[in-house]
Amino acid sequence: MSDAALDFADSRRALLGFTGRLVGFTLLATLMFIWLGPVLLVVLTSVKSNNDFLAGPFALPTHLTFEPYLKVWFALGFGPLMANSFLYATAGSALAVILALVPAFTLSRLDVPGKKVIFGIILTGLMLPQQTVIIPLYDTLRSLNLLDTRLGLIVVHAAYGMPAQILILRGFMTTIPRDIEKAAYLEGASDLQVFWRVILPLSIPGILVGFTLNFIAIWKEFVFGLVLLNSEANFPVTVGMLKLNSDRYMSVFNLPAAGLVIAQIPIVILFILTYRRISEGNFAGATKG
Amino acid sequence: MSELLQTRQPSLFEFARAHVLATIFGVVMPLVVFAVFVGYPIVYTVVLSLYEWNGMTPTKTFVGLANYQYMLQDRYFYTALFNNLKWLAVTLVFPVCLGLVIAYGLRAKILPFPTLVRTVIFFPVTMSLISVGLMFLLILNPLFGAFDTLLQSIGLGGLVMEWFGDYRIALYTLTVVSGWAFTGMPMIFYFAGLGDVPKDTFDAARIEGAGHARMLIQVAVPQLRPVTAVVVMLTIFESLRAFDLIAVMTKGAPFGTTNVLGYLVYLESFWNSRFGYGAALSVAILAVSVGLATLVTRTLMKGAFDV
Amino acid sequence: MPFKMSLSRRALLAATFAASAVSAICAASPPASAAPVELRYFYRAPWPSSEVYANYLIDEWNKKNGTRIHVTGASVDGETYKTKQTIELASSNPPDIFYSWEGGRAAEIIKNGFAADLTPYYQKYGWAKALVPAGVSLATFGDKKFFVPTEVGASVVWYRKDLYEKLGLKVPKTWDELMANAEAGKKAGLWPFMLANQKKWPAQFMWSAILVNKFGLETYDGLVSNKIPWTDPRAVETTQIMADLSKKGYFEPSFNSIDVGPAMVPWSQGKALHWYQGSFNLGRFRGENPKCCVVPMDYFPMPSFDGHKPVMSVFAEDTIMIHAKSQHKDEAAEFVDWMVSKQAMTEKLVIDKPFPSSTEADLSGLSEMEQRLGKDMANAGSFTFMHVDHATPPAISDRFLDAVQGVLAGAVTPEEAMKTTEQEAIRTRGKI
Repeated sequence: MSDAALDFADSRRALLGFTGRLVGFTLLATLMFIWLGPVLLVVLTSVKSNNDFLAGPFALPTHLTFEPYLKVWFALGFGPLMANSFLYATAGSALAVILALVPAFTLSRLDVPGKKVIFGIILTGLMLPQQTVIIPLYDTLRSLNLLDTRLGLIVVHAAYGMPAQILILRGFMTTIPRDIEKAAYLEGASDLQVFWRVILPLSIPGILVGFTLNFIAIWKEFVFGLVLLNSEANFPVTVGMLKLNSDRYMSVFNLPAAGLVIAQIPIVILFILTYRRISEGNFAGATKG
Repeated sequence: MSELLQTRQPSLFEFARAHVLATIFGVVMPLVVFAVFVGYPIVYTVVLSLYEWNGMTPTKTFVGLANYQYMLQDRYFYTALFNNLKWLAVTLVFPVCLGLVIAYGLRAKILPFPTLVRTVIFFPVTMSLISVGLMFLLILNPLFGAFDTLLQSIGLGGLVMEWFGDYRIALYTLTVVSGWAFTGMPMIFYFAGLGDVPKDTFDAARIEGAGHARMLIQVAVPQLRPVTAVVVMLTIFESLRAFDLIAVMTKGAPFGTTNVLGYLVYLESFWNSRFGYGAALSVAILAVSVGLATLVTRTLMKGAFDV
Repeated sequence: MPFKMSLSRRALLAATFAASAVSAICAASPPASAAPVELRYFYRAPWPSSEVYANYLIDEWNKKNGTRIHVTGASVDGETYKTKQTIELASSNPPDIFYSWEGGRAAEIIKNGFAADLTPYYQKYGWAKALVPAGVSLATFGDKKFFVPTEVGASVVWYRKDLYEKLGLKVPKTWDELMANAEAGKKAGLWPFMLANQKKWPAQFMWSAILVNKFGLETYDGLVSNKIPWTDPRAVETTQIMADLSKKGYFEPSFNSIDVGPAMVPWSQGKALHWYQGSFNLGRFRGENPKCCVVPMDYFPMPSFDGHKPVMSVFAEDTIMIHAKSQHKDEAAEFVDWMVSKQAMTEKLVIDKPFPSSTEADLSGLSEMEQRLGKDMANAGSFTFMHVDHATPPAISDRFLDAVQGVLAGAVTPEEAMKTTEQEAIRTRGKI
């Protein structure tokens, strides 16, 4: 679906006079300043040398340096941190999606009695504040010897990612026309066959959206990583980055700034690849109904 | 009896017999995950809140309601609770309303470059709050921060404040930073929601001579009620989860004035080794969120959905 | 575990026999006799140099003894360590050797049964003779010794020598003289004291130094050892003195949102006259220079209020414990003995920062001022004190630090601040 068709105003030019356009551009400039400004400033700071940094926050660097990147990469050990985050985000999201597929199928395509109640129960998991479960999780994982293990964190991420995935996938599967599977059922196909041959292939775009959103969510996640892990070797980027706010890095800002950029690069790449999908209809639309 | 029901809806048992795999993996499995990761932890937390436990010893001491008794006279608890509510209020006003206005501006084509605007404003949603917090620590730093320098250079040096060190404003600094990172969410939701509003509705209002302000308030807002319900729900749980920014920016300083319940749970359990009290605080969070959720369901959500 | 060439022939022979015997039965892994004892060293790394130095310690050790006792290190940064330590120590596979604190934090660890009694090893290796006396007395709880200090520190008033000369000031002997100097600095447009209190711990340094030098060491010891309540008028008055300094504008603006690291910049720029801080900052003061310091500076102890000899704060900055549940305490003690050896301690000065806890370490590479401070610390004997966050359990000290920060910000009165601290203390240790 194209956006233009959904806009209730027809075209900018027809609608707005000179003043209107001036107002539009002023608003645009303000929004860009507030939302893009800080990000650009951090990028600018990250390529400054120590001396350039002391010249003031807006001073342009006399020469570009990538030394802060190298320094902070090794000082914080971004290599292992990124690898960990990548593992948690990929494995956690994949598991969450896999766990969510059949429930989404069942709750969207089959007439389960008490569907709404079941769905409602599952959704409460989505709204649960993490802090209310963090102590039991900590204690349970410890007694299972899964505290401070990568596996433990992946399982936790998958379990808490599942409700959102059911929500998204169910929303997506509801939009698939009924006729397609009716034909299959008439030919005597089982649930499994319909799911595997008909619904699953058609759900791939929804799966991608769900996976991407979950990936970003896990990449951003902090509380579970902080409490359920101990060794730096297992830390994800968010927990490892906490170190940047110690005075050994905060003396000259090019190091933390470079660290911020590094931490965001994978998401930027993902964001560029999938932005149109996740920002539009699918994302917000998935939560409807 | 079964005949009567069968014509309308099969019973769960009959459904299960007809769809074995779907029942196991589609109904039982998610409910088991729910029971293990949501139900059990909540029960555990409630039970633990009646005990005293330092997180190290194998034994826990039963203390009855002592943790709750302490909570009710703990000023840190009240500060944190009110901070959560303030956080919620600011988030409902700043990022949610602004997100709505931006979405409206995009759909009404007041704002040029819609894709750019959406991308830029949504971008912080993809940043971890740790990154966001660190970023604003740099920008708001009193020694080398860009924001103070900017204010001074445009002659507003008088407005320079100790953004996260002054107990009167530190919490608001945090909420505004969190709002900055959150605005993209409501914007996207409202943007999608406005796309579903029939165009005729707006056309009719426009013919009647309604300006943008009126169209926004009298046409868009009522039409967007279901979206608002979702957004408000989301906002409530975001603000109850507020933790990351505090952990990275202030750690509750100065004088506990930026504590929120979520951070207090962490502080009391994992820092001060009072897991029982931490659990009691968790129960408080749960109570507050259930309360707020009920409120929203009773008011905003009522009739907004026919799920 | 790969076989090393350095294995003795007999060991190799034995190993081969054992291996063939075992593999004949069940084709199992290499024999136990060839595997070295594995030790885990869990430490706190607040500085980049802390990690470099720990790696040096571990690598050197493994080079020499790796086939017999192999050490692996795991580090956590300064702030996170406080929470991670408890979790790690209580885990089913705790580290053998770990970084600890002194005072109340150490007492907590001992109380929970995580710390091995090191008294026999003190005797075996003669640590008591080699270590700074103040450090040894801090390690003694009752009649047992529970940790080995590896770094000691002192808190003093650092002052800018050049600015003192410019303003014609003399090193103060009493509190009043110090205040007069501060006032002169303020009139000259300087910040009389740097505080850099964003992380809450810096202000307590000055607080405890003022308390000790106004009301005596016994008062302070009474407070931190739970004999005097925090609501005691002397504690309140000390807090009031801090509040007054803040009100008079004696600290830098926005001191509650500036951290110690960034504060080095205005300090180097000559914006502040004094800075009451720990000697662990000497690494910072040294900067990229081979010897201290980047700017002309010196120190004096916090002067007393009545002109008596001031009491200098000497504390154990880094301390090492051996886990009570470790299967290899003897081997762990061997590693600890290497940590406090002359070679390791001298290397610490090169890689890390002063001051080593061993009196045998060679200080001659340091600047004259640092050597002088080293001597002052050794001479302080056991007549000294720790700061609040070392001396009391975390729950109390956190509330205390919070409260002092609140007082300085004007959020609470000194009375209220001490009342909240006492409430927290009652919750932790009961009423006095």
